[in-house]
Amino acid sequence: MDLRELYQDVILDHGRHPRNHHALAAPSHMARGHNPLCGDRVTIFLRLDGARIAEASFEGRGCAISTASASLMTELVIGKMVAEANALFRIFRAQATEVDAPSVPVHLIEDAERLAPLTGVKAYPARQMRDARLARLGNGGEGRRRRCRRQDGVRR
Amino acid sequence: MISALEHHSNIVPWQMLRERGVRLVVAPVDTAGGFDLPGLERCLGPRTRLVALTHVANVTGEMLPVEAIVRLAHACGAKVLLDGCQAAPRLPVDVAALDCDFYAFSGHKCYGPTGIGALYGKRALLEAMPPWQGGGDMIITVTFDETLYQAPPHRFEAGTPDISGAVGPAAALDFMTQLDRDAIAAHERSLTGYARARLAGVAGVRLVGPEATAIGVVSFTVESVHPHDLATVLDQHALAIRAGHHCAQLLMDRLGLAATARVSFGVYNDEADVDALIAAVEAAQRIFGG
Ligand SMILES: Cc1ncc(COP(=O)(O)O)c(C=O)c1O
Repeated sequence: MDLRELYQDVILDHGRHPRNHHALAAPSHMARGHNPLCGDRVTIFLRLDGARIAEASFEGRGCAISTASASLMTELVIGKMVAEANALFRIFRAQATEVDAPSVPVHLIEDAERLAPLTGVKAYPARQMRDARLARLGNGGEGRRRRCRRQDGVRR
Repeated sequence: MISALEHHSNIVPWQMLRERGVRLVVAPVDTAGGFDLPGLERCLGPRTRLVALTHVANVTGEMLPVEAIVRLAHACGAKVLLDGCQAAPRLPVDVAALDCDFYAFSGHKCYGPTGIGALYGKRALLEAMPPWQGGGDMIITVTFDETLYQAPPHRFEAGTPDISGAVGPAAALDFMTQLDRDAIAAHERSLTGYARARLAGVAGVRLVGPEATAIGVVSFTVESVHPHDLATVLDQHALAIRAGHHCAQLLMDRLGLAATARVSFGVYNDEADVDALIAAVEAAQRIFGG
């Protein structure tokens, strides 16, 4: 796979200039994620207004792909209902890890397309977070442990 | 006592012993991530039983002053175990001359298979030690009342050994001893020096750890390129490196780094590989620098 397919402009842009990259003053939910294999630590903040996500942000940084994915996620979930965000999450997981393209409900097609550049990781198993939760839309506290495969280069 | 340079495999087993009343002391590193001999000396005391240190650090490649460490530790009545995983493939190692009490290394770092390694111990110490595991083959006689154990090393090898697994490292070590061990060390030192010099010449690259005794591995960070992104770009240039914390989180925490990129050399590498590395690092900078 060509590097430019993995590192598309959207990813490079969000990797360099992550959006919503700050803590929330009064979050209603928060989750911490630590990837013990690559060392990334990310904290995600949400402020719910009823069942709607009023604000979303994150702190911490990882590689370009993980930073861009956190950044894009915050942009996309702001203003959504929690149920919609969960649906988008499931679609994205399938897009990024499964062979068959998932079926996407019409109202989420545009969002799923915005996340499509991240699905280049499918060709790089070592760059995927196997059982990561994109955002724990629950009462966060201590985030769940995340696991990804060890990042070693491939032999010549 | 361990140091802040250690691989998790020389930290976690000792932590497990804390449940049995063992106190674990961590000797410091200096701000550059270098081994601190006076710091170790300050930590040593009459109650120090075992000093377990790496011979060559796996993140920075620093070779520790093990002769001095052994002398200091023995003067306090402590035993010394050296983790030779990084050193054994690179340096001629004479355990008797080092006078260390134990020495461990892994097969897969010596061009051999994974999942097997070797532990050396001074005979008198091994003879004084009880077996850690029971089974067949480690005994002289067994009755229902009593079992007489074999002499070391058999006493420590209960059950049918991993014979097929041991054939691999033996062949690998034969391969290594046919090469001139001093020449391997000279080759690794010169490649390490060359890589450090070339990397230091690239704007935005920061080398991790001291230069003086570095051998075999070079850790570095590149401004605006995360180590994992760098590893992926290098992979596309047919260069296999490791990115991450290298199972040395104590050291990474001291250095305030989440991850580094690390190249490690083998007998088959040469300066052209380093030149390719530099070109690929610069290519990564062009992608992510913008
Ligand atoms: C210095 C050092 N110690 C210990 C280890 C662990 O060896 P193993 O995984 O074979 O236990 C390694 C490498 O993996 C190492 O570099």
